[in-house]
Amino acid sequence: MSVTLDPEQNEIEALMAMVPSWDGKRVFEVGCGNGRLSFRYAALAGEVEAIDPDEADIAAARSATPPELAGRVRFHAVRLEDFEPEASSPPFELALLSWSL
Amino acid sequence: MVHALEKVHRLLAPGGWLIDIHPTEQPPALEVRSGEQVTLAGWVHETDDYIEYAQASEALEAVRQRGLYDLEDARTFDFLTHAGSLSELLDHLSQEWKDAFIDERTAGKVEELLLSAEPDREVRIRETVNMARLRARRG
Repeated sequence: MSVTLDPEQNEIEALMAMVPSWDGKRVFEVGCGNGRLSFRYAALAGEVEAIDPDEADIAAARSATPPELAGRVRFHAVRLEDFEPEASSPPFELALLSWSL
Repeated sequence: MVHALEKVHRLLAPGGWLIDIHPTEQPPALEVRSGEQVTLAGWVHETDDYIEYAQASEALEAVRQRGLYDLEDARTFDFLTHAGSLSELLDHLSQEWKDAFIDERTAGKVEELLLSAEPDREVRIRETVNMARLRARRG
C-alpha cells in the first residue's frame, strides 16, 4: 500500500460546499503543489492559474494535467509575491489559498 | 501573511471570493485502523507549523478588520493520510512534511498495534483543517 491522501474526498466535498458557483469562473490557486486539488475542481471552472514556488511540484503538475484540462489550467513555478498575471487578463473571480497561508 | 492576503485582494475582482484552507492548531492524530477498529496511538508533533497556523488565522482576522474582506462561511473538515506501514508514513513525512515527527514511544505503539492478525490494517494521520470563504470588498 502506498501513501494516499484524503481518499475520503473530505477536502473536495468541503470545497464544493463552500463555493456557491464555479461556472466559468477565472480561478487563482496559491500553493497548488503537484496539482492534487487543482485537478479535482478545474473541470468546473472556466480557467485556472495555479502557482507554487516548488519547481519539481509544478513540473509534476504539468505532466499530470489531463488532456481535457490542457489549455484551461496553467501551472507556474513562482512565489505569490513575484506573480503578476498578464496585463490583458481580467481579474480573478475566485482565489484559493491551498494550505499556503 | 497579511501581505499575501493584500496581494490576493488586488488580484481579485470586487466581490470575488477567497477560499482559505489551513490546518487548525490541534495536533494531528495518529491512528491505527485494524479492520473496523480504530485506535488512537498518539499525535504527530510539529516544530513550529502550529504557530504558522495560528498566524494564518490572525492574518485573516486582521484583513477582515481592515475591511478588505467579509467572512461569509467557515467550517472544518478532517483530512486523512493513509499508509500501510509506519515506515511508509515516515518516508512520506520526510519528503512532504519535514517539520513533522513522531516520537519513539508513539512509533512503538503504532508498530505494536500494526502487529494485529487482522490483514486489513493501516496507520493514518487525521488533521482537522479550517476552510473559510471570504468576499473581497471594493478596494
